[in-house]
Amino acid sequence: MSANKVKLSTSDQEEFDVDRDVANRSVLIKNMLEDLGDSDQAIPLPNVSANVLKKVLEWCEHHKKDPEPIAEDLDDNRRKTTEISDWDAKFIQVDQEMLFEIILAANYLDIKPLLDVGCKTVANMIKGKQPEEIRKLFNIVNDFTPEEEAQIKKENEWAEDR
Amino acid sequence: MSTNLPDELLALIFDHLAADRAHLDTRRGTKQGLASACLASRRLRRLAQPVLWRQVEVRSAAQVDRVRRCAALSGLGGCVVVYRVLPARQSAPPFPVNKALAASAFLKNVEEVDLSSSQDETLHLGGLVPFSKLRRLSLALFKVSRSPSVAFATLEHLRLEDCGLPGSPAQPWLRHANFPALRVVDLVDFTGDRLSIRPTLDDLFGGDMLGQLDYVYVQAAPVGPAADTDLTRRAPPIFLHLWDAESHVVPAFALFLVLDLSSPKKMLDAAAAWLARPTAAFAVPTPTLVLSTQVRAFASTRPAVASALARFETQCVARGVRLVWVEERGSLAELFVLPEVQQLSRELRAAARVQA
Repeated sequence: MSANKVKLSTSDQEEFDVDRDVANRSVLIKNMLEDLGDSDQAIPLPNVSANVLKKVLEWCEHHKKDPEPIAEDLDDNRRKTTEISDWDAKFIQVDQEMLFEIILAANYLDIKPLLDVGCKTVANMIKGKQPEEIRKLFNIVNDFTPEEEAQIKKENEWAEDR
Repeated sequence: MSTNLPDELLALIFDHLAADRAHLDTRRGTKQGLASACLASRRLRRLAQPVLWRQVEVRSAAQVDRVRRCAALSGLGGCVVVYRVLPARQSAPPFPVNKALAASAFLKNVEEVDLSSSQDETLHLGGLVPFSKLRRLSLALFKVSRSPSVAFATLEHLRLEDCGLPGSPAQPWLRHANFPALRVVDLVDFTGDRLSIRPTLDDLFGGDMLGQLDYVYVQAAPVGPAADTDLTRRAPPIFLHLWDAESHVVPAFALFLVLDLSSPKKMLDAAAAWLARPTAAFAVPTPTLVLSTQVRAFASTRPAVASALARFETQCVARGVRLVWVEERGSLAELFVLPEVQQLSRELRAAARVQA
C-alpha cells in the first residue's frame, strides 16, 4: 500500500482504499493515522456502513482542498447560518434515512463541516412544520397528556404568528 | 424509518435553526418549527423550548403580557438571551415600546436588546436597568430621554439608528461614566431634523470615552473625525465610515480598508492598487484588507481573474497583509464579529500605546 493511501473498513466488512488527504477530512481518522504511523492495517469504522461511508467519502473528495476550519468559539451563533453551498445542497439531496445516517457518521468521524451541512438541512426541514409532521420526521410518538399540551401552548403563545 | 438521532445532535439541529439570521418571514417559520417541536414529545420539548425562548420577539402589548406572565411562572424567562421589540403592525393598536420593558424584571439573563419604535417615542432608559447582563443594545427611531445618569456597566456594543440623542456638545451622553465597558459603536442615519448640529466624534463622545472604543461604524451620517490631529491620535483603532450605498468604506485614519463590495472586478482592481503602494504606507502592525467572497465566485468562472487573484493572495502573504473575506454587503456592519477584525483592533490599540 502506498503511503498516500489509507485503508478503511466498514461495519459490514467492506474495505475502501482512500487517498490520505481525503481521509484526513475526518479528524477521527486523521488522529488515528498519526497514532498508527505508517501501517498497512485497515482502520476499522464499526459505526459506519459501506453505503454511508461511500457517500461521506464523496463529500470528503470534493472538499479535500478546503482550508482547515478555524477554531471558533463554540457559542458563536452569529457565524452560523442556514445557508448551504450549491454543491453541498445537491449532495445532501438524499432520502431522510440516509440524511440521518450521514449526520451520525459525520459526528462519529468528526467531520464538522459535513455535520453542519446535515444539521442545517434538517433545521430547514423543521421550519414551519406542525407538531405531527415533526413527530413523523424524528420517528417519535406523542407522550403528552392533553393538559400538558395545553400548558405548553400557553407558555409559547407569544411565538405564534399573528 | 429506523434511524434516531441522539439528544446532542437534536440540540445541534435546534441551535442551527435558532441561529438563522434570515429575513423575518423565514424567522417566523423558524419560531413555528421550534414551537411545534415543543409540542411533539417530552424529549423534544426539553431540547427545543429553551432554544425557542433564547430569542424572544414581541410586537404588541398583548405579547409582552404573555411573555411576562409565563416568564414569571415557569422560569423560562431565564432562557431569554435576546429580547427584540419590533414596531406594531400597521393595522394593530399602537405599541409603546416603554411598555415592552415591563417584562424586563423577569428576563434576568438577557444580553442583547433590540428596540424599534414606530411612533417617535421618547425612550426611558431606566426601563433597561433590570437587564443587568446587557452586552449589546440596539435602538432605532427613538428620542432618548435625558435620564438622571443611567449607567450601563456591562454594555459592550451600542447601535443607534436614526435616534435623537440627549446631551449637548458640551456634555455628551456617551461618556465613560455611563458606558464603562463600551467598545463598539454603530451610528446609522443621523440625518434629518433630530439633530440640529452636525456632530463630530468629539461632540458625540465625551473626551474620556474615545480612548476606550475599539470600533466605530458610521453609516449615512454626517459624523466625521474632528479636524484636529490630536483627535486622530485619540480615535478608536477602527473607524469605518460608509459614505453611501455604492461607494467604498473609507478608512478615516487609513488603517483599514474595505473595498467596494458591489463589484468584484472593481474590488480586485482597487485592492491591487492599494497593495501596490510603498511599504511605508502600511504604518500599522498588520494591514488588513476586507474583500467580498463575490470576488472568489467571480474568479471561479474566469481563469484570467482566478490567476490574478492567486497572484494577489501570494503578494498579500509576502507583504504581511491580512485578508478578511466577508460573505455579503449586509455583513459589513457586523464586521466586528469577525475574529480577524477583533485581532486587528487589539494590535492597533497595543501599537498606539507603544507610540504614546
